[in-house]
Parts: sequence; structure tokens; C-alpha cells
Amino acid sequence: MDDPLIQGLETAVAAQPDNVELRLHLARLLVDAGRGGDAVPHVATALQQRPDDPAARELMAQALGTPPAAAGAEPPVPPVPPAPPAPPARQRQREGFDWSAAETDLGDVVPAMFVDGQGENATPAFDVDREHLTLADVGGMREVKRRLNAAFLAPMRNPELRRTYAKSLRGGLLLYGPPGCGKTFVARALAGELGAGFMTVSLADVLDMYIGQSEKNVHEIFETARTNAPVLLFLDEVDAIGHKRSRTSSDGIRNAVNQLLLELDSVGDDNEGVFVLAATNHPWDVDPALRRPGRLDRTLLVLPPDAEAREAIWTHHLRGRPIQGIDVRRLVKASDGYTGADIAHVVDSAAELALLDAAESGELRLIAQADVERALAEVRPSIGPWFETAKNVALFANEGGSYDELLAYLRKTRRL
Amino acid sequence: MTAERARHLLDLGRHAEALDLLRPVLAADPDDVDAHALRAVAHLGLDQHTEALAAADETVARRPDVEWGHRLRAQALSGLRRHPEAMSAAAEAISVDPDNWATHAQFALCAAQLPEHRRAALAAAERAASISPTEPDAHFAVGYVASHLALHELSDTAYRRTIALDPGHVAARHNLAVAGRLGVDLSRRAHALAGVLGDDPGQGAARANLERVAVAAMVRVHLSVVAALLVTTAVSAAAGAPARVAVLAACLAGVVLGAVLLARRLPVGVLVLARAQLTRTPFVIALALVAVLTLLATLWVGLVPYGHWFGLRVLRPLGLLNVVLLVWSVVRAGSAD
Repeated sequence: MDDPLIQGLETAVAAQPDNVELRLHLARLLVDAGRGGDAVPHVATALQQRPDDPAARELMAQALGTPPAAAGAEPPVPPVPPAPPAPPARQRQREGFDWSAAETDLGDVVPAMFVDGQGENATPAFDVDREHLTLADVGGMREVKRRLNAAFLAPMRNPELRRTYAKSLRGGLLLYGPPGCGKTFVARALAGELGAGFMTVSLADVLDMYIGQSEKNVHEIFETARTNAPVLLFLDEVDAIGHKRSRTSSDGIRNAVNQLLLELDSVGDDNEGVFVLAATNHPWDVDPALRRPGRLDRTLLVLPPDAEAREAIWTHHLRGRPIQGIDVRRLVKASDGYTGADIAHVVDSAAELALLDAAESGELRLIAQADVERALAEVRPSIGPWFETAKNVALFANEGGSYDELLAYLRKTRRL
Repeated sequence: MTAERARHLLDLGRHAEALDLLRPVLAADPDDVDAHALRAVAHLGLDQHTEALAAADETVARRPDVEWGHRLRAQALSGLRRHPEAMSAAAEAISVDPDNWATHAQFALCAAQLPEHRRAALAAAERAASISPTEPDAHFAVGYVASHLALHELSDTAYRRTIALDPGHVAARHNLAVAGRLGVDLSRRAHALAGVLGDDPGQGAARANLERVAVAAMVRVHLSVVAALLVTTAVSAAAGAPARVAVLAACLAGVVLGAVLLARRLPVGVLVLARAQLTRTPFVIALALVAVLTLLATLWVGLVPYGHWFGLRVLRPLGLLNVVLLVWSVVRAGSAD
């Protein structure tokens, strides 16, 4: 039976794993209770944080020197591997404590803090998710779905047709468009549709990696993808990861872009089942080399949601809220040009209005159409600045027709 | 680590995100000089000059011996149009680090705003370029100051050198494109600015200047219509109907041909900008209305017997309208500068 104090301390240590004092106290109690084997991992963890703490070292010596408790009374102590050859007596005397023996003893007890990534069981640095979304879950956006089908799904699902039309699976797809229009959602749905894993690499991940070893880490991303194939590798905000090299002063970014080019080239040659999809709000900031054939050579404009998509978005965001008499169709009509993120913001603002009213009147009431319309009048579409820049791109940077789709949309919506 | 990430974000032009990163850094350590300096850079990138100045002040207060803080102060003060103070801050940067080209270049850019200090500005810019002859921004400073001193040849040379060292130097390409008088070579200017905007679509100045090019093109067409009216009126007073109609046809053909040739020499995007302005810029709307009136008057003069009497009568009000347009365009140009 465990001592209640030890039990309590074990719970406390589990809750505060970084509290060295607490951990050492627990270890001391364990040693005193004759459970040196149980104390060892705690002292080892404490020593990782305070390697020079004499009390911890002494406690470790005691813990290791404590004979195991009687069989049956305590959990079995892990088997001790054969002792390594003893160091010369003089050295042992000088150090006072046989660290190599201790390490050997701890080998099975305390997991290694760091791994070199060479081992077979090296944990991938990036998560690979399994997506349950499919394109059927994406409301509206028919043109996007049609293009995704033509670029990705149809050739992948019909190898015969692919061979007939000599359609290569090389190259990736670049989704671009104003922020908040569902590029990431579409990418996830595509991964689900393919039945592939979904691995997303965002700006934050990449910036962390730039410190010193950017190329190696970009390589690691692709290696993880290859190991986990079939996988859809989604490069979010690719304008940051693959920024125009001519416009950056950072060697880290330049090297990362070079490595990205190399990896994209090899994805087509050496790897089955790694599909590269990238997204950006600023395709004009992406290094042109990344958009050459065989790399991110196909582009797809993801526009603000159409009426069908807006209806799905309104319904999604209003679901689960206390609402009454909401005319979604009217909202759909009034929210032309709003992104999914804008609509979410409008619903939040409407909820705030109702909440404020309830707080002031002391009477709980549901979110009404008037609240949503008032919020809609207050929240303006966020895509204006994006289209201002996009206009310049469509008019003056449309070499090779890469922004024809954008130009057509701007003309259609009379934004030009 | 976080400061390094913020630096990368700034390099990518993501100023707001960099600020978000720096806030907790400064909350944890209010004496982090680098974080203050980076915050100043981020605010400068967002055109938030008051906040940039505050951050630069914090930097200088903690490390007055580092030139960067003084330079950031100078940039923020320039943004606030406090040019004499900006110049002093830049001078402080030079005194802290006299062998650094950036301090001299900053002084030059600040002093160029004050006419009485432009010669000193030029000397500082040239000093920057001599300290670091391979640094594009040092040559850019020379070009910038020289253009303020109307030393067009020197300015052009310096900008060209900047571009030679850094072909992607958008500011140098832009300034080289707009150097000289607007009307001299509309097509060259339009293509150069279109190239700048194609490379950096966020360049508001290039866009504004392209819109000015579009307006200048429309003014040219308008002037050709005015010329057609004058010629038709003059000929109709002295010649019979066949000659009058022939001259009218020739004038109209000249107007159309001139407009088509001009349009073909301009990037297509400029024509789109011109069309957009026809519906939303009051000056351009007025210009178009006057041009249409002038064209109708020309047709009347050319096609109606004794039309020149009408022509002579309308010349005065049309002339007045054109004078009004001229003054308006000068005022617009002044406010744009």
C-alpha cells in the first residue's frame, strides 16, 4: 500500500513537472521508504534541470544504492543491464560518483531527452492528420471544386485516363485569393477527398526553423511527408516560406527557398503519394522559380464565397446560438463580398449586441434578425485592400496570363 | 529566438505580425533594446510614425551609443514631417558611428527635405556612397538628394547605379521613371511605372503616378480636339463647304489617329485606369465633358454653313472652360506632389 503522503506528492509532481524542489522531496521520501528504484527517475529528471545540485547528486547515489524492496510489496524494479567496464580507479575516486554506471542504470528508466533523428523510431517533427472533411462539405465554390477535380482528383482516380491523355501528376497547385475565403478549408477537404494524410506547414513553423538550419528542416518536412505517404503537404502562406529571393536580405529565407525548389523537384521524380498544395494571399510575393512547370505550376483563385457558400457559412456560424426568426437568404443577399471570416465576425458581433442588450435590460433574449443586420452594417468586407493590390497585379503583372482568372473576376464584378 | 522571428517577419513585410510577436517579448523584458528597435521598424512599416518614434526613443534611452536607435528616430521624425529634428537625430547617428554608410545616407534623406540643407545632404549622400560603393541604398540617397537639387543627370546616374547593384530596387526604378517632366515621354514613363507596379503591386506611389500618366494622356487627346476646333473654325471662315468638310474630316482623323497611336504606345493597364477615372475623378469627368462639347462644336463648325460664326462664339466660353481645367490640373499636380 502506498503512503498517502507519497501518493499526494506524486499527484502534485504530475501536475507540476517542473517543480524541482517538490520532485526531490518526493524522491527523498521514496528513498526513505526503501523505494530507491522509484526515486531514480525523479532524481534524474531533477538533475536534468539542476545538474550541479549536490543534494540531488547525493540523493541519486542513495537511490541507486538502496536495495530493492521485497518482491510483491512494491512494483518490480526494471532489470539492470550488465555493468559496463569500470573506469580507472583514479577517475572514479576524483568524480566521487560513477555517472556512466548511473546512465546505464537509467537507460531503461528515463527516456532520452534528445534524439538525433537518425534512429528508426525517430518521431516526425510535424503532425500528419487524417481528414474526415471532403469537398462535399465545402458549400458552394463550384468553380474551385471543378478545377480541383480537373487538376488533382480526376487524374489521380483514373490512371487509365491519365495514361491516355499523358497527364502527369508532377507539380503542385497554388491556391490564392483574399484572406479568409477558405483556402485552408478547401485544402483539408481535398486531403479528405484523396483519403490522404494532411500535413500543414505554416509560417510559424518555418520561421522557427530558419534559425541556422533552414535547409535541413525544409528537407525534414518533405521527408516526413514521404514517410507518411499518401499525404497532402499543405504549404500555408507560401509567400513567406517561398518569398521572392530578390526581395529578401535574409540568407535563411533564401536557403529555405532553394531547398524548397529542390524538394519540389524531387517530389515529382522520387515520391509516390506526396501531393503538394500551397496557399497564399500574395501570389505576387512568391518566388517565380516556385511557379515554374513541375513545381507549383497550376494556380487556382479562391474567391469570396458565392451565395451558396455564404448560405452554408451563415448556417454554420448561427447554428448552436440562441437565435429566432433569422432569414438566412436575406443575409446571404446582403453579404455579397464578405468572406467566411467576415461572416463569422458579423455573427459574433450580433451575439455581442444581443448579450449587451440582455445585460442592460436584465432580460434574456434571443439573437434576432435585427441584431445580425445591425452587425452586418457595422462590419465592412475585409477584402477591399486585397483587391486594390490585386488590381495592380491583374493590370500590370499578368505576364503569361497567370492572373487571367483574377482579371476576369475583377471585370465581372466591375472592380476595374 | 522570438526577436529573430520578428526580424524575419519584418523582412517579409509582415509588420503587424512582427508587432504581435514583439509585444510579449517587451512585456517580459521592457529593457530588450533589440525588441524596441524592431518595434520601431514595424511601426515605420505600418506608417505609424508616432508609435515608431516612441519605440525609437526607448531604444535610444537604453543604448544611446548604438546608431540604429538614432537612425530609427530620424526616420520616424521624417515621417512626422518634423524634418529639423529628424536631421538632428540623423546627425546624432553619424556622431555615434561615423564610418557607417547608413548614418550618412539617413542624414542625407532627412536633410534633403529642407531646401537650405540640400547641399549638405548631397555631401552626406556622396560620403555614404564612398564609404560603401557597393551598397545600392547609398547610391539611392545620392539620386534622391540630387533630384531635389534638380541635378537630373547626377540623379539619373545614381539611380541607374542603384539599379545596376540591385535590379529589384523598386524605389530607384520608380524615381527614375518619374524623373523629368511628365509630358516629355509619356510612353516611357508609363512602361517604367507599369514594370515597377508589376514587381511590387503594393507600390501606392507607382499606381498614383500611373493614374497621372493616364490623365496626361487624356489631356493630350483633349488638346487635339481643341486644336481641331481652332483649325476647322479658321478654315471655315475662309473656305467653302467642300474644303470645310475636308478639313473637318482631316482634323477628326488626326484626333482619332493620335488617340489610337497614343493608346497603342501605353500599357493596356493604363487605359483601364483612364477608363476607371472617367467615372470617378471629377477633373477627368470635367475634362471629358469639355472635350465632348468641343468635339460637338467642331462638328457644327465643319458641317453647318456659316458654322464659323458659331465657332467664334463658342471659342470664348470653351476657352474659359479650358483655362479653368488648366488651373485645376495645376492645382491637382501641386497637391499630388
